[in-house]
Amino acid sequence: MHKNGRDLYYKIDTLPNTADAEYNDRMVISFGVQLALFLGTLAIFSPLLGQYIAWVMDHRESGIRYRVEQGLLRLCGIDTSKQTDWKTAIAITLQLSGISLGLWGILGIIADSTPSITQLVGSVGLTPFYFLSAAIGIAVTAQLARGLRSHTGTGSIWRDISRAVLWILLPLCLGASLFFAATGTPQPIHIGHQVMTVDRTTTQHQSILLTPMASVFAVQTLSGVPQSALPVHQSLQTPTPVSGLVHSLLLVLLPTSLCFAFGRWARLPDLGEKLFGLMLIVLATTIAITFFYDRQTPVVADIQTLLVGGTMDGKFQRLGIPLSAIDSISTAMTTGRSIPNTVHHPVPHRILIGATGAGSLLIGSVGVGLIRLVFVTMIVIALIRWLTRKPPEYLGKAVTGRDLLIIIVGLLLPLSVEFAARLVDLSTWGVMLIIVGGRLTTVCLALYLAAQFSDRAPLIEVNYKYLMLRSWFYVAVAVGIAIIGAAIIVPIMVYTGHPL
Amino acid sequence: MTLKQTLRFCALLVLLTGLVYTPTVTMVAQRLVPFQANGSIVATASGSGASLLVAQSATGDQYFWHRPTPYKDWEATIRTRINTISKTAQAAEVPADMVMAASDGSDPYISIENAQIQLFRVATARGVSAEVVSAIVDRLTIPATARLIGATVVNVNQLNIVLDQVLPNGAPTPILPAAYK
Repeated sequence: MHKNGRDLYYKIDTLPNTADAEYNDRMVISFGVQLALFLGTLAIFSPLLGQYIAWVMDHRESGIRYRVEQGLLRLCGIDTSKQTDWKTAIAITLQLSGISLGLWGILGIIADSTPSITQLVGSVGLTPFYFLSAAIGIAVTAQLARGLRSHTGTGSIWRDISRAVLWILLPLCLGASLFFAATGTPQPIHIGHQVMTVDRTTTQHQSILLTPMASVFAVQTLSGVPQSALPVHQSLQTPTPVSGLVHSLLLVLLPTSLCFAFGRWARLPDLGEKLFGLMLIVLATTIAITFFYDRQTPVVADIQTLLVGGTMDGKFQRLGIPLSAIDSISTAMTTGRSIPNTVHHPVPHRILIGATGAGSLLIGSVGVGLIRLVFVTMIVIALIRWLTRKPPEYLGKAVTGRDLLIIIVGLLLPLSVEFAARLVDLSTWGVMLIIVGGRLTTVCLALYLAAQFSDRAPLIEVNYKYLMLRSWFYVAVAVGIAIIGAAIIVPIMVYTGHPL
Repeated sequence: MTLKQTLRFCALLVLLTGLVYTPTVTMVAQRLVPFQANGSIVATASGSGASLLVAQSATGDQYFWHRPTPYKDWEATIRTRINTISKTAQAAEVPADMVMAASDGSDPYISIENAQIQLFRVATARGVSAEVVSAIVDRLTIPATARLIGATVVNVNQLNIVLDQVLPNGAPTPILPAAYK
């Protein structure tokens, strides 16, 4: 699709800086301010939203909100008084995701008919899928935290999902979609629009795809689901610089807020701060590197003309290079895909490939990145404690070697599939299936382990010699698998630098 | 057992989003920001129109060109453009946004440098001096938000519509209306 441009740019291996020093200085200052604004806003709003999420998910079983939840769940014939065991919880998440993916697929197949109708059906039909995706992420994070911290069970997953939809996602999405609509993302009553063109030398008419885009784009952003294959005018999504900045913020806001919610659920607030700090550092570094390279302008090999203004390919002029760097990294880290049609300087291009992989381990779409980060922490703690000859534990609960083995296989398998899939050209649908599949694996893993942990009493430092002996074997196997996996995947990825 | 509950839950969610969420957003947006919610479409006296936020192809010499589309004839387009530029302007440097495609080609904005390089061509085609067109470009320049967020740009669609109104084709008005001086 974009082969022409890409082939040309990839002939270049050294890119000179733009000559204009003043222009560069101005762009660097502007970048600094925008990055500070982005990180600062995240640092202010993530703790607040995190506290709110923790409060909403754990609120007591009375009052008006409780009655609304109960009423809606009773309509579906769901009894929330009893706990869902891990098998039922996994069955429910798989069914919910299966149904919405099916819907997604069917809408994709009919996407080839009339664009406007498809757009309408597609966008409105996809909305529940986006809601579910984010709600499951929040609910499963809550379940895992409860499993780690209590031994009274993990609660009903139905209640968690409905709370996430009703009290977290709906208000956030309403606010976000009205903001996007105000900045120019359409939300019309009549779909589709045709105008007579101003310049009629080549074409007489222009069809503008107008559909309820603001409401869909808001929930899609908040849930961190990759863009669907449905045709849209990309310029309508983030028409102003402020909406570009808000789009980047909303992409990472729920994942970062969940750090603080997790810290509160685990009754270890500084754990939340540390997880958040790690996410912030990774975001800041990757954004900075992307900016500093994309600010340089490539020399197009076949055309002997000096270009100025940065690697603008696929980026919006109104956003400029700095804001595009923030948006590119936020998108790659959360959705696991880069912004469609965007071409970067070869260095940030490789960083973005890394960011989509690292992002799914660190930030990811709602909850999943955090859960994977917690799992990685468990492995690291186990390793450190193994070296100091202590049994593995996490937040005061024993972690068995079997847990670690399941975690590593469960983490490595979807990641390897995801990476391997990038080496072959896949359709949007294929990539989507792989990304969603990877997320579901993590979700199921978290639900299973949450149940396992909740069955265990808090750790007392006796009697663990036996556990320790057994653990060593599993830890060794797990580390072996991880090293072999990484040794195969990473060099291939870096060497090929394959487009996402 | 659970499948029945799941199906019911999904149905409820479809109703909640389809009948409550989307219509609420549509209603409020139509009431508060009708222009933006309906695609920011402007119409001219001659019956043509454009969305200010979706690039509209203009290839004639008397119009400003938007950024190229990435899909078809990208290379041919930029070669033509660079040839034209080297004929009409003495610029040694070409702004990247004149050559590099914008996302799906829907970007309606171009940089000031891009507009300035096109000035001579548009002015010649419309039979006016470059200063006249330059004044219009200056007038329609959109600065970065708070001078720092985003970039300073010109909206090509807006520029072309205003050009047609102020300097109609074939009959260039020698005197610029006060608003555009």
